[in-house]
Amino acid sequence: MPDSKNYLHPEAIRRISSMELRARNIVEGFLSGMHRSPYFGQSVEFVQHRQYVPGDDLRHIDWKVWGRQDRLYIKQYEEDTNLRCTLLVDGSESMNYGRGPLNKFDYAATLAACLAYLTLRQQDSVGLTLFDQQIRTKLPWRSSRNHLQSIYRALQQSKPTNKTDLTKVFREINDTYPKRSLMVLATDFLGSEKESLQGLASLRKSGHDILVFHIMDDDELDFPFNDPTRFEGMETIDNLTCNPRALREGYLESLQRFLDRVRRACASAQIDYQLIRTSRNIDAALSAFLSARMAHMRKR
Amino acid sequence: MQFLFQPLAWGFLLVLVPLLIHLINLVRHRRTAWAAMEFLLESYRKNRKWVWLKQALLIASRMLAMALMVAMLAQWVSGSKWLSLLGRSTIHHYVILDDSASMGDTANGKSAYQTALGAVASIASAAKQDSQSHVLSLFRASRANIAASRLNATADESNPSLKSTPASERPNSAIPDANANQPSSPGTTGQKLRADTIADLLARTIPSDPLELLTKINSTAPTQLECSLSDALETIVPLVQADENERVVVYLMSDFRSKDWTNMVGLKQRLQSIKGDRVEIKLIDCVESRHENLTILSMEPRQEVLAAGVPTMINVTVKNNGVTPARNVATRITAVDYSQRDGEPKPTQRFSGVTTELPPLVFDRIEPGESVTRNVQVVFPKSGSHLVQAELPTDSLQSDNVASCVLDMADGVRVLLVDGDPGGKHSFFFESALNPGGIAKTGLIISREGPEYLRDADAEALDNYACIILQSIPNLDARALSNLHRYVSKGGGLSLWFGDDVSATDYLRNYAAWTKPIPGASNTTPLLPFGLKGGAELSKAAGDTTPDIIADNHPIFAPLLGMSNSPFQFVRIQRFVEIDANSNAATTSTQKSWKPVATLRNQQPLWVDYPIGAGRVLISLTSLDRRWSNWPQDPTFVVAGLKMVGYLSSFRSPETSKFAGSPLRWDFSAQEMLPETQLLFPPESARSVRSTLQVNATSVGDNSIRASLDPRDSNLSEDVTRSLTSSGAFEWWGTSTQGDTLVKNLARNTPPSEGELEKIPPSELIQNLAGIKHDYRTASSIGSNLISASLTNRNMLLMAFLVFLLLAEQWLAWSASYHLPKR
Repeated sequence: MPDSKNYLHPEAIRRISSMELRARNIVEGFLSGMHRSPYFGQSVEFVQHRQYVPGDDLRHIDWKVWGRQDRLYIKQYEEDTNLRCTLLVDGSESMNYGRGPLNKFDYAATLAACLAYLTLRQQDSVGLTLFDQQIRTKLPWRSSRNHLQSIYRALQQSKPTNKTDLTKVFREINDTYPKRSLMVLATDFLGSEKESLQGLASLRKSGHDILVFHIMDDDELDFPFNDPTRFEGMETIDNLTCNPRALREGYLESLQRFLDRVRRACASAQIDYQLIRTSRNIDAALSAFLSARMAHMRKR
Repeated sequence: MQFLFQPLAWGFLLVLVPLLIHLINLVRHRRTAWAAMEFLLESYRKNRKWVWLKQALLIASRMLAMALMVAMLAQWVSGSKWLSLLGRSTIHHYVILDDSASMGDTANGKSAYQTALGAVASIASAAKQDSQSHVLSLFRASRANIAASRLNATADESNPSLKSTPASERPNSAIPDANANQPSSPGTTGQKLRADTIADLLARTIPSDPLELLTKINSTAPTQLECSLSDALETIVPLVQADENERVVVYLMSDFRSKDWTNMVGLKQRLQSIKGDRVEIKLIDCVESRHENLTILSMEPRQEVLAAGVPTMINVTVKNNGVTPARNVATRITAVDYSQRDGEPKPTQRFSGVTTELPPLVFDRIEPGESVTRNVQVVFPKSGSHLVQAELPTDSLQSDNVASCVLDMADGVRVLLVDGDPGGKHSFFFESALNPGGIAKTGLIISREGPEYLRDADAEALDNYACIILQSIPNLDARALSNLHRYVSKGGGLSLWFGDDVSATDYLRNYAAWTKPIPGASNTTPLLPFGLKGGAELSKAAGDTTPDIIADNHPIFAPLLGMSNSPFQFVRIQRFVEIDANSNAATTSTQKSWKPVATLRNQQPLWVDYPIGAGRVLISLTSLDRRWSNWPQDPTFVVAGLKMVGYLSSFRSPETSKFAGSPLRWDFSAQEMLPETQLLFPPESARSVRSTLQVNATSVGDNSIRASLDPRDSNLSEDVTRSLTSSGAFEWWGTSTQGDTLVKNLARNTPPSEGELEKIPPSELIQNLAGIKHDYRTASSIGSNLISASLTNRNMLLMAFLVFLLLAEQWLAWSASYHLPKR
């Protein structure tokens, strides 16, 4: 693994308590490994030349320089952007589960912080909405650097509680965020699957581009329990004492059906969907975000 | 429900372990908050019934597997009826117990016989714990041997061809047949052995306390007999073959000595006849290893004159049956004098006579497998039935350490000299040598008669003489020859000397009748085994130093041989009678029977030893006349003459000892003794007072009556039979018609072959029993699990069920997702 990637591993992330440092380390580390900068695009304001490397778009080669110096240079312009990115982070109690370095909420919060950092670095505006069964924290879009601190603080101070009710949350977002934007949702969809998917579909119909990060813990995906265990519902009052191995197969089948439903619903609504394990590096999520952003920019 | 190892039945509590582990796991579960509860609940709702069912089946299978394992370990023998249907419901245990003398081999205070009894108790206990029907039959080898011997005796009586050798002519013939290991002859045992008369236990069910059943057998001890297991095996053959639905286990409990199990054709033949799928043969070795043992091989007086006041030499031969040399073996010699007038039975004492301890006989060194003979001299001053007993130091087998012999001493031994010369000139030398007078006492009472005495005297009158010496008899008529033939056939000793009174023609004519069978005699053996050619001169070449007489190894010359020079160096034989070995009289049988005991320088026989019936004829082919030889002037004549009389008179001597189990018999005159007699048995170690038995004599002739006891007599009680088969001195007391007490001693010794404790190697035993499936094991390696082999089918069934159950448990565990899938 390249050194830059080490910063993206959940175990390394866990050691950094400051959300700001986390976001910076992750994003800078992530970006340093990319050949092509995601921040530079077509605009009128020239910024600099850069020597051509294989993989660069041939359309950006400055042929005049080539004619004079017989060298290939790429012209880089500061991208003109007015992207509005809304980070929707599930703060319900089910997101508090996790036996790895990061629980689901920590993972989602770190991901949101990184995305906010990445967005603001590009001079775009970013907003944050933390919710459970209702919107708990709502930060408006801003593109200033100071706004980043607000986002960090909100994420760091928030604790997962209560049940999930995305129907109510999405209705409120739909009402209060009329302008089309890129919405990034980090949730586990547990508790209100059907309502959540319906809400997402309605958001999509409102013209928002939506990127869903389905955050799941390894335990939830693999169910590796062996010993007799008493499972106590985090968002329900149900308890179950069982031999997990006896129910494992049925559990995994049921979970797989759930994941298929979510994936299918997102696909049908043209929502980008990404299933994220909390044990995986966070760069996958960042790459997915950048792809979604590029697609969003192209549509504009 | 019963088990061979009842304490292990507590192991059934272990069946609760799987349940407890399950419950403990449920109680000790960990708690965890869980977000994806809906999927877990959905799985639970969907699989709840199956999971519960599989869990229950899994726990049940584990509990059942545990129960099966405990049942197998504890040897579950409580077969329910359906299980009994799978196997044979009745198991018949035939125990054949070797109670021969060698089973008295003792190590660590426990004899092989006691070990065998312990094994029988184990069998009974194990059988009792089994719910299947078990029956037990027990046979002692000695009882079967005695019964077989009785049948053989009956066959002897019914088959005249077997009567040619009367029992009285079989010295030392004990009850057990020495060829018992050989295949039985249908002709000798026409009748079958009856198990009900032989068995100690016959098809007896095991009571709640098995020891009750064995109380009687546990009080028994090994006999002093040499027993074979063949007869007992032959007894059970029809029983085993009778019920084909019965499962049979035959136990042969023995000490497995090489002498018994090396040549075992008969035994193998009988084992072959009982082997089969439903028959198990178990060889139980009751002796762990071979022990050191010394055996008195024989104890008998030399063939000399047995007379009161005359020293008697007793030869005692001891064999080392161990594996290391025996050194300084001090043999205790006890002489018991029964000559006192006021003698009476003394049951509280070891002997009723006066006991004298003689100096011990010391054997310096006896190599393993070797035997050494030493002699001890005893003198009984008065006549009577005296006893001499030798006893070796204590070793592993005590019964062969003691041997006795009876010396029936008379005041004198009567010798009849029959002289052809009316003046008795030929008898002078014998009279001088056999009764020199003075302080020299030979114990011989010499009588001299003419040849006509042999004709005129009653045949029974000759029986009063222990020996008859004929000298220079010219002619004897048929009656005289018949009397002589009868006398010799009954054990008398006859010495025949030639002389001048018989011419060469006389030899051919007068002795022709001697070489033919005597009309009316009990056997066809002639008095002379060869014809006579007539007198001949023994020429001697000048310078030839070869002695005229070359003696062979014979009791007559025993004191004279072994010297560097010939004892007959100065003996000169001038004339001798030449034999005609090719004459008609020299039939094949007679040619084989006679043997020269001394030859002349020219290889012609000089003295010939020739058996007729129970007696002997010693033929001297020369004369004591000075024209024939100068031997009477030689000192060796006196020695050889006395030895000759002793040798010839020994064949009429009463028995000195026999093997244990031989019949006891006392013949006496009705005019001299009352028929009521009392028999004192040898002392037993467990009893302080010797057993006694009143025996009434029965008439067997005009004047003779006979008191007899035969262990084969089926009318005798078991205690009397056991006492009769013991070894030691039997004192038989009677009362004369004058009121005096008389005693006759009979010695019975343990067969010395029982002292051969060499064991047959198991590999050789297996080789000898090739083709016969058997289970060989030592008694010490078996306990209550001896019967386990009988339950193999049941245990195999349990094992099969257990294997099936464990496979099912694994499948259930896998099915219940207790095995994590490979990632």
